[in-house]
Amino acid sequence: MSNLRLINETSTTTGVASLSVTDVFNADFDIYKITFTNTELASLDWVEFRFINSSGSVVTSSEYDEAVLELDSGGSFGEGRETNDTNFSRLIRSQTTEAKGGDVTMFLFNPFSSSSYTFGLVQSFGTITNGFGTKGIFVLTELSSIKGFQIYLNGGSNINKSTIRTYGLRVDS
Amino acid sequence: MGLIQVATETVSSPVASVTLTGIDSSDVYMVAINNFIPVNNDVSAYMRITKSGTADTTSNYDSAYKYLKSHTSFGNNGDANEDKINFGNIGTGTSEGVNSIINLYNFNSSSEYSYATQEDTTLNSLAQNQGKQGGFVHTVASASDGLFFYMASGNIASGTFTLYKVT
Repeated sequence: MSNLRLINETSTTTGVASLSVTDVFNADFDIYKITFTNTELASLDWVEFRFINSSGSVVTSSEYDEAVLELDSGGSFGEGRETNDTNFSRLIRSQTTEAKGGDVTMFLFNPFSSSSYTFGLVQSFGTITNGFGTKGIFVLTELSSIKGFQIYLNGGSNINKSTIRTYGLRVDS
Repeated sequence: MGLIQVATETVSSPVASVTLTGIDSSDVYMVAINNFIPVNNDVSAYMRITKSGTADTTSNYDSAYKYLKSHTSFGNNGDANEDKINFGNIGTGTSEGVNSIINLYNFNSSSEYSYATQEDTTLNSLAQNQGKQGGFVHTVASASDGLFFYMASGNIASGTFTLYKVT
């Protein structure tokens, strides 16, 4: 049996302002792999990411730090940096048609632990005018137990389509 | 993609080093590192590959990374003919350690170099989020069977290190 265990699959095929995945992190796993596929947006935008704590509240405190290398196939590369921000603001930058919907692979470390910060690794590729990808890291410097997450668009328009799969990396002692 | 656990070690009391072995096929292997934290403050965390279970200390490690940093401009970090791989300096403050995913290629081959891709997200000894994105090669055509982790000085305080076969 694989040690990569599918925990949850959440998707939308209609326009939603945000998409939440709840109650997926628990004491059974310390590291999680999350994939976002065919993420089609109502407008060209950045998809942003926030955690949901054990009370079910979205974590909006100014305790997110991030560093994202922006890989633009049609232009120069960029550096996205934030400290003490209220979200992870560069999950993926993508477009409005199904063919141009982008994809993401993320690893999360220690979200459920209330004695460790929560860290992330992210790779994405979408389309703006040309192909556009990211390689990034982030941390939530808050000692709270995290049980889920939410994505939404920077500009407030809708996510038309996305499938999110959350896996746990099982460690058998 | 599936993952089959090959070896794991969780450090809950200080130890000088951690060794993960068990690579015995041509499959790709993946190592997941969680909360690799030192006893001493502001020390480098290191890694070597193992040959027959023993860390290889020869100066045959070439590495190249984009160094992502949340607090300042990104860096380019390249080293040739080193005797180890350096994750960077970490500390004793809250969560000031290494979290990493490393994919291992050709390790079991006696006729090819051992390659790895690596992505880290860490908190350094100043509590700043940074991480390396890149990889390394051990430029010796002989079989490798795992990885060895240690600190520049002092012991490893905590961490979970797991080796998976990718299926």
